[in-house]
Amino acid sequence: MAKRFNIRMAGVGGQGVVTGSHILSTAVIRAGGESTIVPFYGSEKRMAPVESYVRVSDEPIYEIGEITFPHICIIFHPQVITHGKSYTMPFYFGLKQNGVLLINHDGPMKLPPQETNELKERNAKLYYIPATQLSLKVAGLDLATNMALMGAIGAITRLTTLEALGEAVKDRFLGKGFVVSGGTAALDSVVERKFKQKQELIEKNIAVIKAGWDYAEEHGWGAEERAEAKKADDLAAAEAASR
Amino acid sequence: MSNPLEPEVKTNPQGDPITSAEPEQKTNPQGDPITSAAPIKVGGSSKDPHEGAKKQRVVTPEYMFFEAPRKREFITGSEAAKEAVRRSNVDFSVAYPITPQSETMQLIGVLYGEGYVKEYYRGEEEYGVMSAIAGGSRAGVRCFTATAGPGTLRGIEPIASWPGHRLPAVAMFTCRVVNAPLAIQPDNIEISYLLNCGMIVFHAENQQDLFDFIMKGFIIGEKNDVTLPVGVACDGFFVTHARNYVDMQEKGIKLPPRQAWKGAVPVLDAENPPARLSRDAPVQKSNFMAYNIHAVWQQEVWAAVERSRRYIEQYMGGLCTPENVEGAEALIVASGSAAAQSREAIRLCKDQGVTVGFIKIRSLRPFPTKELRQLCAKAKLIVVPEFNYVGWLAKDVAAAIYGYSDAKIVAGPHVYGGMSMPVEMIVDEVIGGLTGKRSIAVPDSAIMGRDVNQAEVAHFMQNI
Amino acid sequence: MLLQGLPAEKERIIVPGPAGFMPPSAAQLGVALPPSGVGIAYGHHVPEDIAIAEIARQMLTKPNATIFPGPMVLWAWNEHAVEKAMAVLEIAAQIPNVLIIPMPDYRPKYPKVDPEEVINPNHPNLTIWGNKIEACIFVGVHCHYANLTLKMIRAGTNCCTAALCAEQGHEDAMLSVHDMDAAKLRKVAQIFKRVREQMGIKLPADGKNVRYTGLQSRVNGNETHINPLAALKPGAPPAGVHMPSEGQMPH
Repeated sequence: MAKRFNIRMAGVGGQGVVTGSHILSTAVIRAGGESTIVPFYGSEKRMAPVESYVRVSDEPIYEIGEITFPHICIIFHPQVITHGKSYTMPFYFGLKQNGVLLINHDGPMKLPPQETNELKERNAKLYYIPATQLSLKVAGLDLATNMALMGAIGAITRLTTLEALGEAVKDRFLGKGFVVSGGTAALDSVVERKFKQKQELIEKNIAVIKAGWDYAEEHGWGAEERAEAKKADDLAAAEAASR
Repeated sequence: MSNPLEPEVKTNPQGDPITSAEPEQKTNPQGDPITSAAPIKVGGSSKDPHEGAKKQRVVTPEYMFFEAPRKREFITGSEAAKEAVRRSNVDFSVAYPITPQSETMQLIGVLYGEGYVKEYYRGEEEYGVMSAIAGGSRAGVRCFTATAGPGTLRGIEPIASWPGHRLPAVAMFTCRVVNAPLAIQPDNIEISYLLNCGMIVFHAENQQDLFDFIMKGFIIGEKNDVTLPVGVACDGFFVTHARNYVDMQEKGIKLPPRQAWKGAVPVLDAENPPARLSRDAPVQKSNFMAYNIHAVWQQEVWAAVERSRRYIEQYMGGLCTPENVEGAEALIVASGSAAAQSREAIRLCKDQGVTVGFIKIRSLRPFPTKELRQLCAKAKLIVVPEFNYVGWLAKDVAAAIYGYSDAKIVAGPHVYGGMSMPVEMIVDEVIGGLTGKRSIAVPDSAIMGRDVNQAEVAHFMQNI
Repeated sequence: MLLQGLPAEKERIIVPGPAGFMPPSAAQLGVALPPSGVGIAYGHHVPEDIAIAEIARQMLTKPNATIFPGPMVLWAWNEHAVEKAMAVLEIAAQIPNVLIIPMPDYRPKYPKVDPEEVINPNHPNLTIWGNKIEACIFVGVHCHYANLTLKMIRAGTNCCTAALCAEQGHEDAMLSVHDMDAAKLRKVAQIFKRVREQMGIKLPADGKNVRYTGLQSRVNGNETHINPLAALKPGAPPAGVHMPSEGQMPH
């Protein structure tokens, strides 16, 4: 059976939701998988809702358009939840059974009882990661929040490797032919100025990715699912061998 | 009258005398300064911007399509269209921007700058663009344009006249919402308007299709016994703005030029005075016209559509492409982006242990009627997902196989107004159709066939 | 499917009419154009020579057989067009008493077409009726206009139509052969000769076998017939006119 993850990323303008999705997608391809991304936003402005959709598989992907029924939702900003800053509400709309929610927040958020119950019914895994705090601590500014989240999702799903994520960051900031929108280009130059040098920028970003990865690993996120998946794979392999 | 004794006073377009010693600014007939730079002079360099175009070599369509080595690139649909036009020996292209087509025609402008397209300009609006394409094609040159949604409908009067004039132009339609309130998102309702014009209509699933269909469209449309316009439709954004892999021949080769004298009608004789603005005096109902002149004219247009079948088979490998039809529990019939979504739905069904066959329709006109009758003969369930409200494809499928298949035909799922189609909706229709459990996700699905449930048919009729 | 002989009477799809007020086109009846070397006889694909022999039989036996030359053999576009026109005259030379009525262009004729002198794609049945033509050949007509004409003749007259087409042929003609360049047209003339001789049909001793229409006769000193080979050899183009060797390609 094909391994397939549909990942919906929701955040607000300026957080690097689209950039984060590009890096994750590139890293998956670098690690030998298949991936596509679809960014979705209105007129560009800070703090307006932005979504980006990443599809990941070990088989060719034909599907196009937004992801309505994701396996994984990554919430870049608590306002996505508290202010409804997403194109589908509530923030977990369409989340598949046993799906994963990775939320950038310093600790568990207080959700309305109805939402808590619905998430329980879907057996959703809620992971809260202080991604902005990690970015501030490791890189000295909050603009690498997206990197912490990409590191964490990499560790949870093991769809890619730390190394491939690092290479994807280099592609993004050094690569030729990468087309960004006007707003993103402006932000890029701000980021570059703050870091003085591109080399430093890349190193810091990779460090934040590692911090996110480590955070997820320390908390054992995804370990259970990976063990179950491995058990199922082993079982299938044993069956195939005995036949 | 100017006095020949007085020196002529130069004036600007507003009538003020030009007194400064600035170099004269060239203007176009509208008085706007000409700023374009074709051919471009780059600094002191003498590099010819048309160099690449001049070196292009003509190859046969057979070599271009089947033998020429191809290289894979990761590009957008608009770029794929540009690359197709680059290799198609296009003489004339007219642009008028409309989302999501603007980028495509902008890129054709780049090709003009590089000399790959011989003539190019921006039209007044789509009526003017489509009329200009008619003029160019009548004059005997190879023409290309593109539009979308409201632009298609604005241009539809001249577009609908192309087949009767036997004009083998290629037009690309990057489908989007046409209904009010305004939206620029994908919705392929505009194809339903094109289906009845008498033009050939292809529907591209992805960037590769777009690239291939445009190039093959020129060759098929220009066959003497066809001599018809070809519309290449794709779903806007999903194809035009997204990147995908496209296998392309090298830039140094191009298709043979149009041989207008081999067309089914004579070309416009614009060189012998007096220039004839219309090819012929109007063919109108009167005592010197047979009662059936317009009737046989339409018959001839549709006969030409029929004759294109063998060339579509020859160059495109068929009007539709069946996959795993034999022994499947259900069939999905789809075109365009719905075909891409269907491939994923079939994978999800397989995970659930349900085998689903797939028929992708590439040519909507001519329609693969005979093929579907044969392929669907044993089918029990046919699901037709579409990116529009009315379900124009499901209607064509039902009409084609009526009497040849006892299958339940589910006209749906449908999304419209700029939505993506979750593949789960298609899975629901397949599983629901097989188990008899109606999906609540798709209110406008319908069931037709041998054991007709009147209530469901009524529901179907209300919903299409 | 390729038949080796002519289709049996009851198998025939496209036959002399009148087919009715609004008959479907041959394409609607499922008749497709054949590949190279294959002709169409009454809606079925047959070897080209079989179709040509049947055209000859019809033209040699039906009243008022007529050749309708179109613009591509009426005007000297280039050397090849002249060569083709001469080959058409070779065909005409094999048919006793044949008429040659031109389709010089496709424009509607105001105020009224002269149906005995010309044929026009907007009302071709008038010419068929006016001359009581029961067999005819179209040659050198652009395919679109030939198809309009053939459909209308089948709808409204009892004429047996044949097409000698330079391109892919005509399913609306009862008899159609295609890829007709000058060499193949001369081959058609040879088959006509063979069929005529097999049928024991003689040509007039003076070779004047083409019958003039009324106007043709009046402008030719009230002669009634002409020898197509003797009289119609083209002279040199008028002074100052040069014939393009390239440019408009032969059709």
